[in-house]
Amino acid sequence: MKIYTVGGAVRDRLLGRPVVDRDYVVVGATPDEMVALGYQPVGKDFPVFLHPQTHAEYALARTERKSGHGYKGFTVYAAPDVTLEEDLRRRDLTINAMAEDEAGALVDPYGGQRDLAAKTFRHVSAAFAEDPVRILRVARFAARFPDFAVAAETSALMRQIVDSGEVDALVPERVWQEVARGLMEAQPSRMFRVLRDCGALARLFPEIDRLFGVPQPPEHHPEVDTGVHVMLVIDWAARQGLGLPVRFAALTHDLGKGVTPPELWPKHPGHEAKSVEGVRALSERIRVPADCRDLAVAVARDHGHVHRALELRPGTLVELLERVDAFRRPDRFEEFLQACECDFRGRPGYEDKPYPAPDYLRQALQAAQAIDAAEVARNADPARIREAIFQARAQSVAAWHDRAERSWEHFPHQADMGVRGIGPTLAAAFEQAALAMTAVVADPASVMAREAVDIRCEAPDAELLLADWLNALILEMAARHMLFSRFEVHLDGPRLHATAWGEAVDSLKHQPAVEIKGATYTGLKVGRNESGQWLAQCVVDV
Amino acid sequence: MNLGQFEQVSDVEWRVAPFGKMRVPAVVYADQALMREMDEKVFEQLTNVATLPGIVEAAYAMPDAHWGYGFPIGGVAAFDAEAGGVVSAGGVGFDISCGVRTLHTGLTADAIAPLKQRLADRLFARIPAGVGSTGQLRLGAGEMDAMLRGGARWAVERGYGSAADLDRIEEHGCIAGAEPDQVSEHAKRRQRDEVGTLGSGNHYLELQEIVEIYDSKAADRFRLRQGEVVVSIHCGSRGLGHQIGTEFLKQMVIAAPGYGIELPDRELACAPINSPLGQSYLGAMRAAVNCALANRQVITHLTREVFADLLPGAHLNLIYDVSHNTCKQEWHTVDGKSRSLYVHRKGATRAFGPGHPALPNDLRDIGQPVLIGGSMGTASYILVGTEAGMSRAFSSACHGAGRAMSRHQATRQWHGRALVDELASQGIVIRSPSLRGVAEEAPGAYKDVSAVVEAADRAGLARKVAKLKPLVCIKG
Repeated sequence: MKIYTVGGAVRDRLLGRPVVDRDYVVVGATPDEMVALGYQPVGKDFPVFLHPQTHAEYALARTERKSGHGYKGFTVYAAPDVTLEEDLRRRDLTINAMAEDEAGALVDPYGGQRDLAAKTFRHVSAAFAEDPVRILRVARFAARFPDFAVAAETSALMRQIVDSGEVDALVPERVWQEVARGLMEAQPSRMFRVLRDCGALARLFPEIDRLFGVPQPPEHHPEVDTGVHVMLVIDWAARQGLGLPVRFAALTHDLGKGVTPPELWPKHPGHEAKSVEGVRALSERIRVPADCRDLAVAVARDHGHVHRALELRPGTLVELLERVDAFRRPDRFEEFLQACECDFRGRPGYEDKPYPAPDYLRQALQAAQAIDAAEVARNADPARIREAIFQARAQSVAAWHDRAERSWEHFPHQADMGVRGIGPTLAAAFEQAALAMTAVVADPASVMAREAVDIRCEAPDAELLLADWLNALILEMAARHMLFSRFEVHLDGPRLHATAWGEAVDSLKHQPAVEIKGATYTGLKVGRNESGQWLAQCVVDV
Repeated sequence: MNLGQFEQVSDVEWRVAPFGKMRVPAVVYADQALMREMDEKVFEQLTNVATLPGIVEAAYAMPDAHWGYGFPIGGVAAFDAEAGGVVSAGGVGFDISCGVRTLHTGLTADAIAPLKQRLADRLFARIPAGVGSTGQLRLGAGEMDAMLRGGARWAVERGYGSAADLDRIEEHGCIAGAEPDQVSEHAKRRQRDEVGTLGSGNHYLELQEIVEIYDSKAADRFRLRQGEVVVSIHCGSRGLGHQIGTEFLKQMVIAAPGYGIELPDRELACAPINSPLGQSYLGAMRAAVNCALANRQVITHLTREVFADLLPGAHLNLIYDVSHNTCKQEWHTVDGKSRSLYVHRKGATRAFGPGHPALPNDLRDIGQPVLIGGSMGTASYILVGTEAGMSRAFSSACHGAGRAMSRHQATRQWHGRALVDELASQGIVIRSPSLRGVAEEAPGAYKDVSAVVEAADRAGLARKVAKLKPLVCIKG
């Protein structure tokens, strides 16, 4: 009787990777001999034993022959005359078909070392075709070893298996088990790539396969192809080391885009609702656990709302928070935000862009949680407690929103001065920039809001509109000899409508320092900073 | 600036050979110390200017160059309309035709000394300065257009000054080609009650003592005598010019792609001279030049009234009036050929040498007076255009000290009140509606004007004639 370490442990040692599980093959022993040595028999279909002390798995060398359809249709032959080479021969890939004896000598009858060096997945023998789950295993290995490629003959064999209809007979649990493990690997997109290359993706996950070739608007999705986007999203999730529910949600968040009528491309109106249907159907079919399914449903339904979080009204924000159960399940809410961020970042060029939505929603949640729900409930009509709590939360979020940082500052320019407004919305930033401009002339606190002036302007882009807005104010300041200290700006695309309140210049009271000649295009910038606040700035000529 | 980017032609001339999209070289006139302290943005802006269509010879920067809007302040560039040349609103700037004029008083500093405080008070009371100040004139539509067409001549016709003044103003007090119709109602509205106001920022009216003469021949011709007092007025086209600059800048930014002009910086917005927008801007800009000339003429009149009250014997004769922010059509010899060019001077002074036909008869043989304003409390200079300058930067010279520090920094470093007291201890009387404005204009926030003038002299842009020291400064 001889004992060998086999499979992944040998492969990983040769790759210099940490060895997690050790599997052993015992050659030349009978089950009785094993039991006599104290091993515990555990295998139902074939003879496997647990070591009396280490509880590691020891299997008797065996051969398997396909005897029917699917995973269970095998005849197992285990006897002392089965050789190590015969046992290794029934394994899937050459890199997994190596053994080591107790002295550390390598047994490599099928070129495993060679294929490791060439970074190639190659099947050991035609027996590969006997178990269609091996397609999923190869795909999963591709996700784990992203720089390995599938050998041409193995690719061809995998395609044959798919064409024969064998993969259709796979049991749902095995499919989920392999996919779940593949999603947790370093580069999950590789798994889907391998499945797609052999045609298995269309059989196993038609709803994912369908996403490839479906265009999205290039202005938001430089990668255009929805399938490519989803692959970038799951890889991003993997790079961040996020959990399985997040990765599954990342995989499925855009399923609805696969069923958009092509005449509507590249737009996908209402894809979120269709994604939810897709997630439910897929989860049902392959028996996805509830935690993965529920997160995926929430992300599919609400990722668009999260991306637009900074534009949502307080009531809508609270509805979103209630819908994703953020109040009761804060951990799930974090996962939900993680998945949405993966969606945002899973686009070329968006990896480093500011994505303020998660922080914004966390703060909104905090504001909504700040209410005393018990107190609200006590004072409410018993039939309408839910509604009363919703209202209180929305009010609290609205108050937080109003308080959210609004400010202005000056920045230096050699001859003149830069004005910068900061606010939660573009309009607020415009208002603050106007205040910063008043402060170039005088202390805004010294200017009373006595008289209102109506201002309208229009410009082809937000930056020119800012310059126009400030120049319109400069005109009113000069022509009316006024200073302004309060502003209300409404923006509607290229148009601005505002009211400015102020009073006549009084040189004693206001001590005006300089007259402003014009708002320039120097240092002109409108956009968001890293914490998601709007900035509006330019240099004014004095 | 990083001097490694330049080829040093002489100790006061630095050159950048064309690279990238530059059509002509970029040239800076300055000594090594000024070059080192110059903002890196000057290099960027000057090389950007060199990319504009139809630019001739080179993009030039004067010794006082600093970071401006599109063009550096202290930038000079000429364009040939026939070669697709452009006119740029940013290349002229917001304060169109901002400039300086200097008047004799014929009085000595000693004679004025006992009256300094009273003169300061009376001038400050008489000449509207600072934010929100208004002039005595209210111009209706007809008068507005007449002023925009007539410039200083319009003012003289209405009793502000004399015809003799006009000869001593560029364009004889009135630039041709002004088109009031091209000036928007907004711009006219801003100007309605601003004629005869000083404005704010770096604008001022100063009484200055001639403390040093460098070129006695030119000084004699300009009638500058050591120990005597002159009045200098620095201001521009007020709200009207600012509004025109603002409006055309936007129009040119929007129209540029349609003209096939690629802007390296939006502030460089321009339009072909031979285009409806280019012509419209030139018409409006010239109206603003006239506005500035009228404005300085009216302020001159107010100054004379104050002097007439306190010092009845004084006659305030105009030495000269120069504009700093302009685009003017001039003839220049390029490669031996005389060509009509549109010369942009953004923070630069025209400096015609002897014999130029645009000069008044009595100055033609000596050259144009070039007035260089210092900052509050520091020296100003009078130079004269030279023969050599005709072949350098299209007869242009520096215009002032140029800021060395932002307003922001200045207010952190100086307090208005302390500054006024300190200058008083040096015998300089300051009057200003705003102490913060004074702090922002602190002398220390500017470059050393003497070094700038020295470099301009050494580079042959213009020759030093006299140095002026402030006695009284009315700050806008």
